[in-house]
Amino acid sequence: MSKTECTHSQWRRMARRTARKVNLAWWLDKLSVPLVVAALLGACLVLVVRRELEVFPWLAAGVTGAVLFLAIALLSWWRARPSFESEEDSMVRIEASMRLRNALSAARCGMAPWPAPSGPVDDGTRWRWARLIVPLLASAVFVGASAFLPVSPRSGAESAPVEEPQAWKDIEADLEALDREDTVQEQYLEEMEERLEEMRRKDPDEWFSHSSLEATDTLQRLHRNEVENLERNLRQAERALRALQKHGDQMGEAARARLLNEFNDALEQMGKGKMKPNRELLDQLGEIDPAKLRNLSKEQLDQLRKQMQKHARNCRNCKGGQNGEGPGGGPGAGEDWLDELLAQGEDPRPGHHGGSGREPGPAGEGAGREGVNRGPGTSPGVLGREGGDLKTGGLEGVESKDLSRSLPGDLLELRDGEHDIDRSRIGVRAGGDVAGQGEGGDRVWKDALLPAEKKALKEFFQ
Amino acid sequence: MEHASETEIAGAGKHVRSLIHALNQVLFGQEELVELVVTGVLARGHLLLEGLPGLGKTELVKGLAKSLRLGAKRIQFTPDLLPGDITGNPILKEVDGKREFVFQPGPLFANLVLADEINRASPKTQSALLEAMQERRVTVLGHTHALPQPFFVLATQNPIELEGTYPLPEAQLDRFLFKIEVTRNDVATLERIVNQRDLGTEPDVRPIMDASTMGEVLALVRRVFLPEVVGNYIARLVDASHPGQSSAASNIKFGASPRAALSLAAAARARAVIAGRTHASFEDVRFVAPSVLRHRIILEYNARVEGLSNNDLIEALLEEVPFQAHATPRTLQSTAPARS
Repeated sequence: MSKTECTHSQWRRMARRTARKVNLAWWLDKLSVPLVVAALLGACLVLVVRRELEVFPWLAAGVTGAVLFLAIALLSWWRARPSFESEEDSMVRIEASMRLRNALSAARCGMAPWPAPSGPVDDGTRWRWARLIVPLLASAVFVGASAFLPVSPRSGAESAPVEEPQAWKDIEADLEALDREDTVQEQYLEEMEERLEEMRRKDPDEWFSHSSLEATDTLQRLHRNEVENLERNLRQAERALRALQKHGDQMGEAARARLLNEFNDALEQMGKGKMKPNRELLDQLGEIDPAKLRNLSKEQLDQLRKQMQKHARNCRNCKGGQNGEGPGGGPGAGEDWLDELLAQGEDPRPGHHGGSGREPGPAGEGAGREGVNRGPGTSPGVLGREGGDLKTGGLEGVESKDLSRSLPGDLLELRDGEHDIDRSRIGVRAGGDVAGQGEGGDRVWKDALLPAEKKALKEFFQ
Repeated sequence: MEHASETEIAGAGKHVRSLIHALNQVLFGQEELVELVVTGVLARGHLLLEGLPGLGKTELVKGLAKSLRLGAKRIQFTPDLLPGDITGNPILKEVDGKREFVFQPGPLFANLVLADEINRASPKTQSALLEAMQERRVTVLGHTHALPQPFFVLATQNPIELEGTYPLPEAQLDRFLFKIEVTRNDVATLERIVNQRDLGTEPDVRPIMDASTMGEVLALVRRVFLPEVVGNYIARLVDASHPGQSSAASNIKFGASPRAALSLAAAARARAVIAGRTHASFEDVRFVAPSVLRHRIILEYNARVEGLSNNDLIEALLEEVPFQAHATPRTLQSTAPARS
């Protein structure tokens, strides 16, 4: 190869290299935006699919991503193709950059010899690394984020069963306990079960709807009332029976009659209520003639009373009511009180039972200091240590002792005052008539007196 | 057409460089002006020299005429100058006992015509020069008279005299190949002038070329190879001078004409001969572009109000239009130098 040919091939090689570089730059330029957009959309799609499916098909996604990248690459190449440079174009770029005065163009046309390359060839371009790397990096970040961001699949959340309201569970637990202890008759239990089932049959999404919760509250309230009533009646009957058993000989006719009435009332209430005690107990109680308790043995009476106490306790333990609390306080609380009074020879006068069946029990030691029906106020210590009374909200008079040292804006005195407003009616006036003539005695002085006189009289009579 | 060979270019280049050297002895400190004048002459173009009085414009033309052994005439344009005063008039003469009109050539009939203060002549007289510059012939009373070959018009105008002047119309301006701004000399040049020149004496100039050699050189210039890429660059440059074609042209009202493109090509070829190359180049075009385009673009009113000049816009144009036709992708940064 001659020197000329060697020089020619050198320049051609450099021109081809420059052309490849420029064309690659064009392709990357056209690729950047679609790549970033596709990466962003693909990342969103991957996240959505990961959320919908429990197991993400990584292989299929990888293949799809590769195909998509290939398609974008081809499309970008197609769009960049019109801008691609040929070897000749790159040769012009080189001779312009190296200030060869178009020696290469002339040599290519045979008008001049090929110049000898002196030093490294400078094509007059260099990579903009920021513009090159940022789109690629951004795409990688999007794709990586879609793969590594934690996403919980939707099916896991949906498969978890909806928890039914706690009130239903409480009521059901009470019913089971009452059934297990055979405290009440089955009719009530069946009725309540039926109601619970009716509510359960609704769509789980509607379990916590307003109407459903209203129904639950009503049911819970009903059950609580029945439980409380039964407990109260059992205790009342038991108390009356115990009093008659222990002190029947000592008390007067009136006291005995009262106790008998109490017993009968309690028995009658138990028979009327929806929640009736178990048939056996009810029958036993019905057969007892409290006036003739001597006909029953002590053991029989004790056994009966224990059953009543046991069933009353079962009622008290029901969560459908309050937790462990019921009217009348703890076990035996009323019993001690009664025993103390009887020991003192006082007539036992149990408290008046209201129509609602609620009687104020002794203050419990629980929260609120008001027992079951805790009164107003928060439990001490629930919201933290109570602070001291800062006495805020009240108005205090501010008195300035030394007026000579007062500054503009100082508050010297507070006084409750009221503007003197004439509140008399102002009616329609005719010509010459006095407005607001007043009524009755007012008419006398409102018509004939001067304004100052009116004011003086008004102040006098205030 | 057979392109000029290296030998021919080498021979012609020697003569041309001698000419330039000789003219630099006539006019001190004006190397670029001399090179442009010689380039214009080699490109067979007419030149317009604009500068203050006393900078040596007339001396340059005289020296050029002496160096090339060309007949030169000087026309001092005044407002009362008539077209016939420069083209010539028929006069009544008695020939062989008969009276007839005989055309008396005017000062235009010379190889080198120095039209001093051309903007002082009336438009009518200026238009008479128009035909001569373009057609290289004169028509008087229906008779066409060819001007001598080669024919060059080197016109001068004073930029400071605005009263009593008639600015050259664009059509006539477009016929000048170059508009060259003659700048004043620096201290060193002035000192040299003072030491080596006397007031009123002409410098001694020896002839460099005769007419036939000049003719050969002029013919050779036309055979200089103009690469396609250079022609493409010229076309893009002229196109970019039009409003809306480039950001630099946003201040241009009217851009350069195709005659400007031809002028650029001819001047680039001439410069290649001066440089001893067989082909024109981007750098040649860039060198002659300001002189070629300066008088061919018309600024927007706003640009003139803002103080922009034609030179500023041409500078911006040359910066904006790259040598290569293909754009550079945004992922690459151009490191090529802006100007040669």
